[in-house]
Parts: sequence; structure tokens; C-alpha cells
Amino acid sequence: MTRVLVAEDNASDRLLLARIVEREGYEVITAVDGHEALARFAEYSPDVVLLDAMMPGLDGFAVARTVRASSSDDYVPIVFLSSLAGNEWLDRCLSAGGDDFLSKPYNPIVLKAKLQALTRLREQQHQLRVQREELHRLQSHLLQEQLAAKSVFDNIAHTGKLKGPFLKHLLSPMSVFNGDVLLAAHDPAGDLLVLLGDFTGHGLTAAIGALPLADTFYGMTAKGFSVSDILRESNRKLRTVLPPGYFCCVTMLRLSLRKNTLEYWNGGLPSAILLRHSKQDVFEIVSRNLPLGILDDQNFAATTGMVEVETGDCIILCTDGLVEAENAAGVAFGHEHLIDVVRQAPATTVFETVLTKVQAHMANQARTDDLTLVEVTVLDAVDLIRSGGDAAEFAGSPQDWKLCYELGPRSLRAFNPLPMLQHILMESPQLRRRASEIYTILAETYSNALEHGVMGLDSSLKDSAEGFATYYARRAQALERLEGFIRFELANEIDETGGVLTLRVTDSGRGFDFRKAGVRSKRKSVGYHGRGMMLLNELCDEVTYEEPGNSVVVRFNWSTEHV
Amino acid sequence: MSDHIDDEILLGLREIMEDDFGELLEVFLRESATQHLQLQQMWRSGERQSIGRLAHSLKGSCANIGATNCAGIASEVEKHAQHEMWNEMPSLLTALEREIQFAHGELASLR
Repeated sequence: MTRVLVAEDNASDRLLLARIVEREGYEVITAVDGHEALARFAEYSPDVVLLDAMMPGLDGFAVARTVRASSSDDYVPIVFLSSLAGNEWLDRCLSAGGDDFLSKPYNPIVLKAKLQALTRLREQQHQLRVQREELHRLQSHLLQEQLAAKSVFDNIAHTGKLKGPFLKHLLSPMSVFNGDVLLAAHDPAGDLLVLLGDFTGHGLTAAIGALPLADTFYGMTAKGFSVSDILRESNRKLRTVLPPGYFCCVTMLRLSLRKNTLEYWNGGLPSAILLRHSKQDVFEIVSRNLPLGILDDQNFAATTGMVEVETGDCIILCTDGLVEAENAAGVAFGHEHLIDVVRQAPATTVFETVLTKVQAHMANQARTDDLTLVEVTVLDAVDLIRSGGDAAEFAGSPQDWKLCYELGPRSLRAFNPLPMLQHILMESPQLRRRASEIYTILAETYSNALEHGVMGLDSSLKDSAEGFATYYARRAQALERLEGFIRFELANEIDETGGVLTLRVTDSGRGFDFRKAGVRSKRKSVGYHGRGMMLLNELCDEVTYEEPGNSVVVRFNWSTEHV
Repeated sequence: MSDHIDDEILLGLREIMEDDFGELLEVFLRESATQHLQLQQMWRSGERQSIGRLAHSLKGSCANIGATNCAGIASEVEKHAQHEMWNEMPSLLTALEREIQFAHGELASLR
């Protein structure tokens, strides 16, 4: 029930007014002067106050001001009761916080209308406050959720090789989430893959597509997939995941330091700029493709370009937020201007120079897009390995070590030692980069030692298809009654320029005529059994056999490439 | 029915107050008599600063009860007091006294 406070010093007027209000269905509280009015107000929290302006002691204006100053959350309408006349008085009522006036003699119909209007006003004010509080609560809840989601998002989208001497970047989001995404990782061959993406729109909707993209990029890069493969798969995935009208502009690079090549693809981003210091020229990586997430797999062209690079060259990548950044006069920074700035910048501070120029151009203008700038520097291969990406990667890792591991007959019959050895080797971060080559070396030397050494099987059987089957039947029989041992001796050494992994595999067999085998494999076209030795020679810097041919020593320099 | 009380206002008051109409009249008669006496005392004792406020209050209650003439004279008293024009005060107070007596007479007969 709506509660009305009637404050009036005149007894007959108070009696009359209370009755009128009561008859309209309101609960009435009365007060005979200003002080009592404030006490009643505090005690009963009325919804509407009817207040005589002229009261002895504390007058109505003072009461109204106190009510306005103290009324905490909900708005309480105040009606001044007075037979005062003149604008001066009305103005005093308003400035004291009054909402309406009622003059004597009281007109019950007019009072009824005023009370209804003010009660409605109060209800609306109350609802407004409740809604405002709810909105505020939702807003802070949303922001909290976004921040939590952002930390998850950043862990997924912005990990990888973003720190290192070869990469400088600035990701500058408009809102909590960034619609620009920068991904970088080394593949198993040691090449650096970089992907810069700009999703349509800003904020959460733009950022959400970055998760499948990052997932695809990191997963496939780690497995050694090609740039084309990764692009094709990313396009397929984004086309499935993103709603219609949403897509991702992408530039992707593969920088191979062992071949001094840069493989590139641009779909929809501003041209990337390759600055070749020694040639004093600029090569633009222009967009020749549609962004990811638009075309179906059949029509998607993942054809990449290739260009030679050398140590000291750098590549500048940016999203359109940078090229389109406007100054106070509404003039965009512009692509031609960017090229000029890159061309004229000191070789070691291209990134910083571009950044300073863009910030100066924008001055205090509000940004309208996410803005990302990336510089990839072509380092010397040795520098890169020495820098190792980041020091944290090496912390607590084994570096220089030796290991001797010998397997007896019971083990050889039932146990494959390769996964365990590979696991130990992969504890060294430098060796991780060459995982597939190292595994091949281990597998080849082990199978030679087991099959030809310990079991004494004749590899020439494998020359024909029938012989191949026979060979494996005999192998299975021989395994059951196998006697002897295989010994692995592994050593990892590190020096100034890199390091060498040495592996000696010795078996309990009689040995083989390695001189003759070497000659034979050169003379003959590669047969099934010749393959293993050829592979070892290709992969390793040095392959030597020790008399009487039951021991092989391979040296694998993991800081240089053998292609 | 009368020159001193507004019949239409009285009719409205009866409807609003119902059984308590008599009580409203009692309260008004008592209060207005007291206020009128206070006014005269204040004038006689030269206590002029509260004359305006008291006349204002009397004006309001008279208007509400339908004693329109009383309200009109009280309003004059209030105005003269506000502007500190004291020359006509004695004659205004005399007129007020006479008019209140008429009004009281009529209202008392309604009880």
C-alpha cells in the first residue's frame, strides 16, 4: 500500500487532508511540524510527502531539502501545500526539491490526480533504479567473464614463438578482445612459421575464430605440415566454424634459414613489405587470394610464392588498422607512406620507427580498428640456434650428456627401446628441433643391429617380393629364440657454433663386410635393403663402421642441415 | 444559504468527512478562535514579526472550511504584515473579528 506522509501544522487542514488521502486508498502518516515530519519520514519511509510550506520551527523548504539530501536509493516525490501565491514562492518550492503544489482550499479531485501521477512516477523511478542496478551487475559480470575468457584465449592464441630476437610485434586491441591474431612457431625442421590474421569485426565475435585458427596452426606446424596444407586446413575449418559474412584476412610466412628462403601467402591483408638491405630494395607481398573462410576447398588456392632472403633482411606485416589509421584531418596513414617509412628507417629499428610514425600520425585520435604491426628479422642460422628462441626453453634441460644402454636377450625378444630412447633425446631442446631425423637414425641403426647383427638375417633376401615375405617369417622365428645383446652409446656435445650427437650401436653378431656393402650399394640401384644405409649417410655427417663390422658410429651435427 | 460560508465547499466537506464532519467543525472553531486571539494579542503587544505567518495559517484553514470572507480578510492582514503597512491593521483586525463571529455562528449551528 502506498504510504503518504502529511505534514501540516494547521489541525483542521491536517484532519481534512488526511481524510482525503485516506479515502483514495492510501496509508496516511501525519506530522504537526517540520521536526516531526523528518522523524516520521525516517521511521516510516513514505512513498509520497505532502508538505506545508509554512510551519513554525522547521519550515517545509528545510524539510524538503533534508529529505532530498538523505533519500538514499528510491526517489520520493514531494508536494508542497500552500496558499502562498506568486512565482517567487513557487520557485522556492522547486529549488527545495518539490515536484508539485497544492493550494488551499483543497480540491479532492486535483489531489487524487496528483497522487496518482506521483505514485506512478515513483514506481517508474523505482523500476528504473532496479533495472539500472541489474544492468550494472550484468555489465560487470560480462566484463569479468570476458577477462577470464581472454586469459584462456591469450594462452591459446598468443603462445608460441612470439618472443625472440627474430620477432617484434605490437597487438593493440580496441576492446578486451582482439580481432587480430599473431601466431608463430618453429616446425620440426627449424623453419619459422608466422601467421598474422585479421578477423572481420572487433571484440569477442572477431576473437572467437582465432581459437580454431591457432589450434590448426600450432598443431600442424609442430607436425611439419607445409604452408599450403596449413592454409587449406585453416580455410576449411574457418568456413565451417564462422557464421556467414565472417572471414579472416591472413598473411602467412615460412622463413627457412637453412635455405635462405621466404615462402609467403597473402589473402586480404595489406601488402607485407620485405626490406632487403643489401640489395637496397623493397619487395611487396601483395594479396592475391581471398581471405580464409570464404571459398570452399575446391576453389581455394593455397599456392604460395617464394623469394630469397639473407641475413639482416626484415619483413614488416600489418593489419589494415595501421594503414587506415587516421589523423585529426581524417587522412589515412597509407600504404605508400608506410613503404617510404620502412625504406628510410635505420636498419636495426625499422619496427620502432614505423610505430613512432604511426603514433605521431594518429596523435590523440580515437582508434576505430584493432591495430597490429609485426617485424620478422632474418637472423643468421647459428644466431638463431644460439639464441634458442628463449632462454626459458633451456632452463632445467639436459645439454651435454652421455648414456650407455644395453639390452639383453629377454628384453630384445619382447621390448622396443626406440620410444624410450627418443623420449630421452627429446629432453634436450636443441634435439627436439630435429626430432624426425633423430628418430630415423635410431630406428635404422637399431633394426640393422637386431636383424642382421643379433639374428644374422641376410638382407639380400629382401631383393624380391617373395624373399621379403620369407625374410619376415624367419625374423619372427629368430626373435623367439634370440640370444645376444645390443648396446646403445649416446653422447650429446655442445660447442660454440652448435653441437653434435654421437651414437654408437654395437651388437653381439659376427659383423659384416661393410667395405663390400658400401661398394655394392653405390653400384646397384637402391634396393629394399640398401635403403637403410643410404638414409644414414644422407642424414648424418659421418657414418663409420668398426671392426669386425658389428659396431656403427654415427655423428649427427644438429646445428646444420643436411638436405 | 449564507454570505459568510461557501455552501458548495461545505457540501464537499460533508461528503469527504462523513461522520467526522462534526469533529472537523469542532477542530476548526477551536483553532481559528485561538489563532484570532493570538493575532490580537500580538498586535496589542507589538509582537509583529509573527502576524503574517499566523494570518497565513488562518487564511488557509478558513479557505478549506468555506469561510471565504474570513480567508479574504486574513489574506489582507497577511499582505499588510508582509509589507509592514501597519496603518490599516486595527481596522482589518476589527473586520476579521466580526467576520469570524459570523462564520462561527453559522458553523456552530451545523454541528
